[in-house]
Amino acid sequence: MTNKYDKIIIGAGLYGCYAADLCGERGEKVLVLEYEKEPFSRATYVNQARVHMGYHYPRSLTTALKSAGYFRRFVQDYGFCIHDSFEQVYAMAGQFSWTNAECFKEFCRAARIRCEEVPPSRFFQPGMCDGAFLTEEYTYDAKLLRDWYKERLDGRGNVSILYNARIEMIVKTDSAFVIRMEDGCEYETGYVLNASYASVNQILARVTGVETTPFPIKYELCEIILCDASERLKGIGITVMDGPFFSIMPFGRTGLHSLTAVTFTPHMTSPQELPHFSCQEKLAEKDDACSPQNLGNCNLCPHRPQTAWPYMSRLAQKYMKEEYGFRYRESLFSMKPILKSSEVDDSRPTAIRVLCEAPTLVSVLSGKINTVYDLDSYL
Amino acid sequence: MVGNNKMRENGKENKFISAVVYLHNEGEAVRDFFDRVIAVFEANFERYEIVCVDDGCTDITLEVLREYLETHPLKAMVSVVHMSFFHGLESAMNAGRDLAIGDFVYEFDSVNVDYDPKLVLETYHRMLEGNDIVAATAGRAARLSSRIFYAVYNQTSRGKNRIGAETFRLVSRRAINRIKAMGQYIPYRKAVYAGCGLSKAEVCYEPVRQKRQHGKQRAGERVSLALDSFIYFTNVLEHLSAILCIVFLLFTVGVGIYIIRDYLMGGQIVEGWLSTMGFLTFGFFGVFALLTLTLKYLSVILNLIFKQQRYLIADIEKVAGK
Repeated sequence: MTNKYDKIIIGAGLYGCYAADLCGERGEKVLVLEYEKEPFSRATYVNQARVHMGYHYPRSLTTALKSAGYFRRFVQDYGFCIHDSFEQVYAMAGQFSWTNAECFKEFCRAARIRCEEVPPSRFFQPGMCDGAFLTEEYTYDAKLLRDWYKERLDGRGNVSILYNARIEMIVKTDSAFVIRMEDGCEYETGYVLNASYASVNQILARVTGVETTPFPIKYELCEIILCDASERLKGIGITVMDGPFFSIMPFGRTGLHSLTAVTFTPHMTSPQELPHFSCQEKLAEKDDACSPQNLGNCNLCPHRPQTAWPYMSRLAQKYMKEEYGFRYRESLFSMKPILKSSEVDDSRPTAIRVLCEAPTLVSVLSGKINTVYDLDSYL
Repeated sequence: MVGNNKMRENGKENKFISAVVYLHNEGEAVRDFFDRVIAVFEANFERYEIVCVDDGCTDITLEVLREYLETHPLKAMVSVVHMSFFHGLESAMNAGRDLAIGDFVYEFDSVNVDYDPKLVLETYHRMLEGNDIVAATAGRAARLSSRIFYAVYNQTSRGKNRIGAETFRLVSRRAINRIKAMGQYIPYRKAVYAGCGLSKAEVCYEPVRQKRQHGKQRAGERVSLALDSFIYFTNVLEHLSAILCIVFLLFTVGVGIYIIRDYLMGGQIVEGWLSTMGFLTFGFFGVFALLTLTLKYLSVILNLIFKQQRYLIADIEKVAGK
């Protein structure tokens, strides 16, 4: 038996849910296929939860300008899950930084984003940073956002989400795509959106009948540490850039801080187009096993790496003054695909590829939450 | 051995240790260093990292390092700072130390191990006793020129701590923060550490093996570093020039008095003597006064330059670790 849909969306992360909601609103019949048993189980939850204003990209003004534009819209649309009542501090490291205080000021002026200079000695050990700035940047709460989307999508009779979905293959016929599941079910549609983030190439590899070149990505197995912040640190987020540094900032509205470090957050890297990791071999062959063809959930994996807390905490303590203390709570792991072209200027463009038209197959890959609006013109 | 580690872990040697290692065309010596010295780290410290400074290596050093790390997994994270070009020991090690994150930072200026690797622990314990800088020194310096340098330096330096021929040293985060707070560029680490006002200890040892000759630093480089150090950290040249200025000033003033006396006495004066000597006296007075001012200016400029970052790195690479 084949079920027909106007659109099938693969992946119930923010991008997938956003697309489903938008199309559902138009009255289209939409099916969302989600591998996990809940939306937002991977990267949408396991990341810094930063709503980017663009400060992160002093080497790429285009990315910065676009981020700033989307920032307002995102904050307006999703205000219910935004945490904005904290001071977000960006600081330039004294050594090893690819940028400096002057360049950063210049850059903020060009991007027209807030940047108010404060003495680095307020937050940092002497000589560690050559500039510190109060900026405007917020954090979103993935769990609040997830519940909001769940309720909203459940309320739409024309949008359904299938959890624990195992796609076997996607076959192009004359006028449609047929998605065959491992359990034998088949779904037919004229439009497939592949919004599976780290699994994007793995999904493409299951498509037959369309020439699909994989995205040029490498994979990083990343760790985010959640911490209890001391009273002094509670209302502050700190990001030291631009190079081998760290960031400690509120994690949505959870009351916790997330700690990440450029050097220590990625535990393992796989340079191939499909993810190959040594930890995959440790998993017994069973149906939710993790392989280069099918990524499991790193956060739930028994073979997830040991925490890099000793390194990350030392690094942060090296820079920050002692009164800004923090304690370990837990680690979150997720797989992060990185477009290879973005390394030099550190830009993180949203890559959207239309691989086939009528029937349509679109793949999206973006590292940032508030560039979700890039999808609009493709849906 | 395992029990030993357990005890220490329970006793909470909760310090994070960094080992900064200078590499410049070391060849196979890297292997020996890791086998002997890093083994001590591996066995005794729960948490540590290794920062290798690749100061323009053009030989097999890095391949040897990579291969070693592949075959000998360590619990430490190992990163390599690639300097953009050959910087010399002092600048390159500054970069390495700046990257290190440890509470305590070891600085290995060379991978030649002419000491018992257990010395690493001895320096560690001396630090726990309350010293912020602990240096391992090889008895006395190998070269006569070095010995003279240290003797003169220690006589004339402003700080109370002595310096000597140091093989490696351990520096606390507190000392590093202190040095950063002093806001100075570090042209000669030993001297800056010794002069930062915190307590320093020395651990002396008798070299176990014949130390390889200082092939690394060229003679010219060493002489220039020595001269620089005198200028930066001691009063010796400042005093010398001040004394010279004063001597000449006094001399000119003396001549001036002599001329005036001659003039007043109305003694036998050769035609033109008065005007010539008068001109010379005033001229030289002006020159020396100007020189004194210039020296002052120079010292101000010196202080300004002190604060500049002086090294360039090409890349930081994580070669092994979690």
